[in-house]
Amino acid sequence: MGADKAVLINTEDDLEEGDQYTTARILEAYFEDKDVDLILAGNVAIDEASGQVGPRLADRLDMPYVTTITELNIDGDTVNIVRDVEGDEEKVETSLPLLVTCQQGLNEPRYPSLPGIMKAKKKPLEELEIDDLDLDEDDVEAKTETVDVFLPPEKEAGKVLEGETDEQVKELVSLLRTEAKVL
Amino acid sequence: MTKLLAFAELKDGEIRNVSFETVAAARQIDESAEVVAVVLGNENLEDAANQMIQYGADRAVTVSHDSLSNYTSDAYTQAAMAVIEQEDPDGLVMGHTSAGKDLSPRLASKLDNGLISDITGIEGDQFLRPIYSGKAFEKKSIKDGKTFVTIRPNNIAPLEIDGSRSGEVSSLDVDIKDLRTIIKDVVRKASDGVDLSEANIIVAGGRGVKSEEGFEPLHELADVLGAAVGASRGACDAGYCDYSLQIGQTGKVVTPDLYIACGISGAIQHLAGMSNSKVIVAINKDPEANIFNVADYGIVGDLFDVVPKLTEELKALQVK
Ligand SMILES: Cc1cc2nc3c(=O)[nH]c(=O)nc-3n(C[C@H](O)[C@H](O)[C@H](O)COP(=O)(O)OP(=O)(O)OC[C@H]3O[C@@H](n4cnc5c(N)ncnc54)[C@H](O)[C@@H]3O)c2cc1C
Repeated sequence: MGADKAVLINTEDDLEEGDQYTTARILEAYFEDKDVDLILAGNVAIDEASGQVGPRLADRLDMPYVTTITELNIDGDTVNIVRDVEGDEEKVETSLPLLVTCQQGLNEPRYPSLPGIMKAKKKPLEELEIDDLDLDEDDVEAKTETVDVFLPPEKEAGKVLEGETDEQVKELVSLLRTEAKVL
Repeated sequence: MTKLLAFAELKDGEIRNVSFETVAAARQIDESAEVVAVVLGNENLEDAANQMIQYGADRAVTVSHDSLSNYTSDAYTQAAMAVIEQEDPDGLVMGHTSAGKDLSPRLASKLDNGLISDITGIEGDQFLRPIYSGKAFEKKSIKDGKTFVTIRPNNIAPLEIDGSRSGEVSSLDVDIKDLRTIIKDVVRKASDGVDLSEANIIVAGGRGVKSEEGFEPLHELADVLGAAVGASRGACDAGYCDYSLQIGQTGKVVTPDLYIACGISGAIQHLAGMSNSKVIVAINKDPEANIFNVADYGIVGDLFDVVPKLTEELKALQVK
């Protein structure tokens, strides 16, 4: 995709259960002595979907942050941003260093090209464990705990209506009124 | 006694419904707790504070400041932290809205505390939340520290309003400074009318709507129902409507009483935003469309035939 370098922080051997606090602490330890201008984070993960890590990390690094951005223009130290606020567009001015979280619309990720894939093999990939960051388990112990994970109760198959459109529409309205009681 | 803070949220000076839900959530966490409403903003704060009390809060703390007129992370963090320091609560409840999502992780970080985001239910000290785009659920609890949660709008019903209920409203002066981000402008895209994330009924259109004009019958149906209009990403990408209408994983997450999906196939990323709706109606010409798997009622047919007839039927009922 175009990155020059990658870092993988392996936590599998050391951590049982982590949460967003854990992730932010580990990232903080990594970034602490790096002189970064801009951190681009995801807005929300598809699995846990809590959207906490970006803002938590920015706070720990004492960096300003702007979430759910859809446009980013950097001119020297000045940064102009458009962010998505529940569908409205907010124009924000701020400065580097900065953390942003990315929302759909920011850009179109390119497909990795074949030469790109070949080149990627030669780029540095650093692998670290939390020891390397001078952290031990207790430093990053989760603040929350997952008590249970389960599938929602199977939804009963819905009613697909039959007959002429007129009849279906009449039946639907009557079901919404008497059975579902939402009208 | 346990003390819980319930954060109100104002939009253009008006209190949002989710604010009252935070009070109800606090009561569900601890029935006998002292629930303190927190109102941050620059105008109408007394009003909002009293409404929070009428909806069940015991008292309210307001912070009024020019730089709180629109939400920004820095200004709101300073104001909220000042209230938290004054009150030293056992727990905090906020809406899982754009502002709540931005603010809560930073407060949690400052407090060195856990945070359980986007909850849809409360069972004692365990909080229910959807994961994997709503395909599964988890129950989480905070190990130690303050009980800190954000609630998904429209899932925890507000308490009955009691107009005679009163409580102390105090204001706190906060010296808000060193703001690192400035809002230059806000472009309103989300249509006026009913707020999607708080709507009771939503009529949503997908790529099957075929054009911008194709949304017209959906708007007519929405008008009769007092509903908001939403869309799939397919419809937004095709340019039939604005992205502010998008519902789903990257759009808005909604939980109306009634969701009417028209010409939407039911991709998992769309379901992530609406599968918790109480009643789902699907109108699609493809009987195999995945949306029928989550729908309570389905009509297999052409939406341009079905939707106008549905509008007529409802209009006829209203006349009676
Ligand atoms: C990272 C990521 C995030 C995404 N986030 C979202 C999101 O937030 N929200 C979202 O919606 N999608 C999202 N998507 C896209 C999603 O995968 C689907 O592509 C999208 O939801 C499809 O939209 P659709 O159902 O309108 O279109 P289609 O899948 O093309 O379905 C159109 C439907 O209309 C029906 N139809 C056609 N004509 C008629 C007619 N005349 N009458 C009745 N029915 C008709 C067809 O039978 C079909 O079922 C995301 C995808 C990715 C990869």
